[in-house]
Amino acid sequence: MTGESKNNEELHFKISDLNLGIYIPIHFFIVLTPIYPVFYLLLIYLKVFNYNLQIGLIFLPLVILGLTFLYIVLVVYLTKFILVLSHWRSKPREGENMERDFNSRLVFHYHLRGFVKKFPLWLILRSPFHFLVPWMLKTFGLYSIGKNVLIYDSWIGLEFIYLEDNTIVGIGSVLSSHLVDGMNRLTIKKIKLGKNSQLGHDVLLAPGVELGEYTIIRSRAGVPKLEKLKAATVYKSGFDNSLYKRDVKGTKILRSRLEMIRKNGISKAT
Amino acid sequence: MASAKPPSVNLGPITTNNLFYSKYIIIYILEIWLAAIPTVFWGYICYLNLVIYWWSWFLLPLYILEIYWMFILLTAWIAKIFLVIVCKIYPPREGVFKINETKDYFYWNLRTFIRSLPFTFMRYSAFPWLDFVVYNFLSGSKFNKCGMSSVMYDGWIDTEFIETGNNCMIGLGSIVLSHYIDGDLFILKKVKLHDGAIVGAKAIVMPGTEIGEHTTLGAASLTEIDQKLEPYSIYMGMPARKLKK
Repeated sequence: MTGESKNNEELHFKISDLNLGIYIPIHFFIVLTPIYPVFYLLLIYLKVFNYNLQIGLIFLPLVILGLTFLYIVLVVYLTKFILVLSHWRSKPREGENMERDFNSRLVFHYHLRGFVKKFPLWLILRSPFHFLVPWMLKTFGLYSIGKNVLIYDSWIGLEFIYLEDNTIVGIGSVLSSHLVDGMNRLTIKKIKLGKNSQLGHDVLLAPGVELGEYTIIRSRAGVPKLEKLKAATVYKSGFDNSLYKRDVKGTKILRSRLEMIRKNGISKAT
Repeated sequence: MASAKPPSVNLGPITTNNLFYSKYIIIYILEIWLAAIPTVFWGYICYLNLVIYWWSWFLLPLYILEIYWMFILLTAWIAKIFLVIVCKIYPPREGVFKINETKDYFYWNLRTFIRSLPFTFMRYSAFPWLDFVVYNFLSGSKFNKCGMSSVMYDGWIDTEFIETGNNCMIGLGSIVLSHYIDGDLFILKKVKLHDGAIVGAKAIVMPGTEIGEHTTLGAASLTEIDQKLEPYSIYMGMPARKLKK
């Protein structure tokens, strides 16, 4: 009991160290400033109603759509501006078991980056343009998404994630590029998915995991941190018994293809 | 504390996929625009009513709800028109296909993309439990039949080749899939939930599964492709095995 209360006190003390005096003005800056140009443009459009009511009403939805798009773009670039300032003060870097000191510059800017990216993300997901998320993450930097990447609804870290061409991330998977080890240690490491690799549903990747090309991870598996997985292999969780024992039409083809890749090497198989 | 939480992309249970190809954006804008034009005109009539009759201010909440629902149902109608055209060009079919060799994968993407907008609006509306309306309406009697008393909105559920009976329950965060991508294979098979079937929280139902009447699939379990679960029994595990009858 005593230990718990002590920990709680410590935690409370540390959370109060988060500098809300800086966070909240930044939040208001990002949310409110783009409203002015957008609202001004809308006022200009409303003058059309004086000339022709029908045309004004017909094009009103398109104009509102365009203005929401403009608002999103402005918010993303304002956030990018703040991120550039933050990166200039303290460059985001990877590391294992770094000290999670709330007064240090590294941890402060790590929290700031996470905080600042929240609003544009929320905005895009609530707007009709939810497919802009990959573009947003790429403009923020420390992120790469290749061609034909298929991301289902999942929890993906906002920095240090590198997805190469033709990768698939399944529903509800977690790709966490940072980890709080105990209360006082912090690990930030990049996650990399090689070409044509696939994650099943509910897969969990800890920081530092790197997948080789053509690797498949079956549903509901977890990978511990700093693990490098081989290319062209199928991984599954320990609880997953014989998911593919049943001969589904087509799975045999997949097995033979993987064997071929193992024999001939990846470059020839493609 | 917002900043102390892990930074994450939480897309939540909207529809199962978040695919996007830039060439489809015209369809997307057309869907919104065509649905919004009648809504805007109706909104203007409501506005005139408010200006002329003072008592119509009491009807303001009703007007707002009406406009909102009109917009959602109109997007569903326009999506339906697009779907009919796409299904005429390439009729959807079940089976195991190669992604690069057949066109099934491309047209499946197109269909789910067309459906995504009404589904998103419905799931984000104040009445997410009414999503069976969109399920039944957008798929036609050929693909989807969803019972009115089923609870579907808590999980990730595919938008086509789903058939549920009455009083089905799909648990929190569970995943019901009628498609699966494995290597370069694309599997598309119908999922059937009979009356009173229960899918536990966080369970994964793979394509081709048939869950019998009043059968329970336990929490965090996983079914195989093409698995048939017998009626009146309990299944658990990865893959799901019969626990008791």
